[in-house]
Amino acid sequence: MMPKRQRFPLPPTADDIAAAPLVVKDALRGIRRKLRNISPEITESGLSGQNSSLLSPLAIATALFNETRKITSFGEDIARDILFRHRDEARLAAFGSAGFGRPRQKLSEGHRHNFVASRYAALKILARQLGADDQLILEQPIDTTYLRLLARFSDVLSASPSQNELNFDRIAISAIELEKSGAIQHPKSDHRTPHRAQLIFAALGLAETILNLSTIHTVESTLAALNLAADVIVLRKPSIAAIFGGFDPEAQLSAEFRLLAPPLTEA
Amino acid sequence: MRLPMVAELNGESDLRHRIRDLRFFEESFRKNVQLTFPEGATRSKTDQARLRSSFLAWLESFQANRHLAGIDRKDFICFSAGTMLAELFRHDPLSVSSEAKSGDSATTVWPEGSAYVSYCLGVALTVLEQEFHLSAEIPEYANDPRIWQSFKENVQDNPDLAIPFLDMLLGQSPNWNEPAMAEKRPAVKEKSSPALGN
Repeated sequence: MMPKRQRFPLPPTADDIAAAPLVVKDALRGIRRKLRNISPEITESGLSGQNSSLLSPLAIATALFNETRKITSFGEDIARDILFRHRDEARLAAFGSAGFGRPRQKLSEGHRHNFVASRYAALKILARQLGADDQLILEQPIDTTYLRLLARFSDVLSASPSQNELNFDRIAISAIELEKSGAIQHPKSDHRTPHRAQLIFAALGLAETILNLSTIHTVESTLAALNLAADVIVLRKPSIAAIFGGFDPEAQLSAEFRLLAPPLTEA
Repeated sequence: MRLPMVAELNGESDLRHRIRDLRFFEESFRKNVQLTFPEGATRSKTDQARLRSSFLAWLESFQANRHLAGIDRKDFICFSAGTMLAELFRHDPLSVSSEAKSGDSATTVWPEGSAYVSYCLGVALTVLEQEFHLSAEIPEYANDPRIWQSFKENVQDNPDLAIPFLDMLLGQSPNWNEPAMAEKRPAVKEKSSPALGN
């Protein structure tokens, strides 16, 4: 009897198809990070002074690997400095408006993409500012969180133009859901409270609140809001620890944003 | 004592709201330091993180007590300025290295302390003038070095004692026993006790 032909498994929903490129990007980010952390046993210094004719094939391969990596990372640094900065700044332009803080009559076509891309770019800036440059940040968990938040905030679209008040609760919930999503993984060895990812997401929510209260919406004002939010959240460490470790963190974080954001908003 | 910022602060309309803006607070505080210690023999440095910490702590206290503004607004303005002064002492963002012996007695005895007091006193006087058209006179003893010496010792022991000290300079009844308890202030107790009796 002929074996039954296996069918290629199709993604179950359109959302999964939309998220597929993010999964690939995140996987590549993980591989790139692992490659960076590889330390071959024979180091460059170990080869110095040795006659090349005596080198084993493994030693030659290692030397080649090290040299290639050095050149690649140098090139990558230049590319990042020149090109990626502009791309990240372009992504940041949508940061203030792509959240769920204010009700709207309809969601734009690019809302989901803007939410994910702007938050990813903002997290990179915050991670750098809070001393976590080497932290792996993933886009797909941000995308999954977006879908979950969209379902939770179904009333975000039902508002009339007169109901345009800023909803601090929704911003706090978004920050906490993103923190739980694993977009930034919290290393088990980090026993600090609050841990760094919590500080980063609290700063993300605070920056979003500041921008939603402000009338100035430029890339510069977004960068300024992110920088200020990171500085202030560091000063509020004990409160942030109490919020994430306490009862009803969503309500507590919302109260924190309500307290802090107005005095930090540029008039 | 000198209040170099009053003229500048008076130029700000609606100071009671502006002072709740971190950027304005930082900018005006630094300006006050500049005016208090003109460039020359005195060098000063302001630690931004400490200055921000004092603002955030003040903001928390302000929000927790603002419901009392409805009982006696004038007293609440004095109390808020006092808590700002207490937080500045607690976080101590300013350091001054002074070789100059000139200036008023407060600046000579305690340069950092006099800068904090002149800033908060300037803010309180300006808000009182804008809100109530009041122009308070600074009492003569504010220039007495012994007062400043005693104030320095007390505040180093308990920064909240800055609140009743500022009350004295502003002509408000001080509460030396529980200075940080807004509801225990003489003006608040006096106005809220008939309501409690009903």
